[in-house]
Amino acid sequence: MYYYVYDEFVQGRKYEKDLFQIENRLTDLGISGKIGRLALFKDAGELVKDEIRRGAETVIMVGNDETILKIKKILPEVKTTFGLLPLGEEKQHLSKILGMPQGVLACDVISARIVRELDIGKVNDHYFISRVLIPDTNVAIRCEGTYEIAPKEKGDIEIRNWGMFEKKEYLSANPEDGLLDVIVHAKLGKKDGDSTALKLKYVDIRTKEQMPLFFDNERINGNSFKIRTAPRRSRWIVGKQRMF
Amino acid sequence: MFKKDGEYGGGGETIIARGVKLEGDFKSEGNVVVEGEVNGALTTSNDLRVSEGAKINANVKAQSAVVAGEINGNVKVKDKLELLATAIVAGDIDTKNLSITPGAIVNGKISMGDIAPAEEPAPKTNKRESKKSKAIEPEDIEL
Repeated sequence: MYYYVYDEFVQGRKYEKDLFQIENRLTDLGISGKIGRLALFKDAGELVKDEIRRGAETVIMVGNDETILKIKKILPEVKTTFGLLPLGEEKQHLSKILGMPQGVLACDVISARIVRELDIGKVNDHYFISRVLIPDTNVAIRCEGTYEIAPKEKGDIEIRNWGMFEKKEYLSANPEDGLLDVIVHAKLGKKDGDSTALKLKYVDIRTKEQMPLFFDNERINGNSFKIRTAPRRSRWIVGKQRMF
Repeated sequence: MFKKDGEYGGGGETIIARGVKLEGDFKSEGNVVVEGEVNGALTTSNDLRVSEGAKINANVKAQSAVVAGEINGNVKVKDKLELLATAIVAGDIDTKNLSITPGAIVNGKISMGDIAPAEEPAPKTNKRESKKSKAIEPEDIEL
């Protein structure tokens, strides 16, 4: 049984025509299903979990990156297959990574049902999908408990799970390998140096002073971070144009 | 072999870039490029490249290796070790195939090939037996 979750922003008049076309195409393909609508103060994760308890086997999020991020905390807890039906031009990075075309074209990809098990990242008690960023730091990273890497001068540290798009450039990662891509952008004097790249199961970061850490669209402050991956803990419908 | 920034992932390759220091024992199953500094044993079951300006202060093990930087430790390479003109190795080398470009510096013992260690001389045999013994053909010795 399919369950479609409409994000709040797609419920306006702007997307009325698109949704009409999508619903017709889903009916033609025989994969139409119940519709849930997100609203302010409505917990998306709980809404989806309730429907999974009632028997939903496939949950399709209709919206953009933000729509997926609203339910990311429940992804490792359930064995349901998820999909993204992208609507709207903005914040469509995850749809590109998953290889889902825009609007009504995604219906055929959902129907084709190529399913992949993808990793979910975890930083302390928070799940993340795309990447973790620690800007402008020369903090040492403890890698898998055996060795440490540290930039001699300050630079950005990235820990990628699915990867992400930045200024139209795809910062790649393999979301199926059970590993995190750790990238240390070191600086050499005032110039940007080359980047250090490692594939790791987990890393630990500890500092004396508090520092900010950014992941997906969130920010946390702290001086101790455990960054892990939950290998293949979420099932996703992907397209042939996926980035991995 | 190695992707540029923004294209990482998929290959399992590791790059220790300039301006980065690695402390501790490092093990990998993929290709490894060292451009920075490593203080600790480095082991990979694949290819290793030590770039010019890179420094490794420990023992190194790899399937094959190209060295243009500095290694202060023993180097054990299963297949082929290539020392470029700027390479400095202060330690023993154990490899199957070795290539040294003029200019490279090696301060250590070099062991090569799969030749078994020399056995004690066999006891003297009579002429008839010695005629029967098979001559060693060049192809019997694997270098």
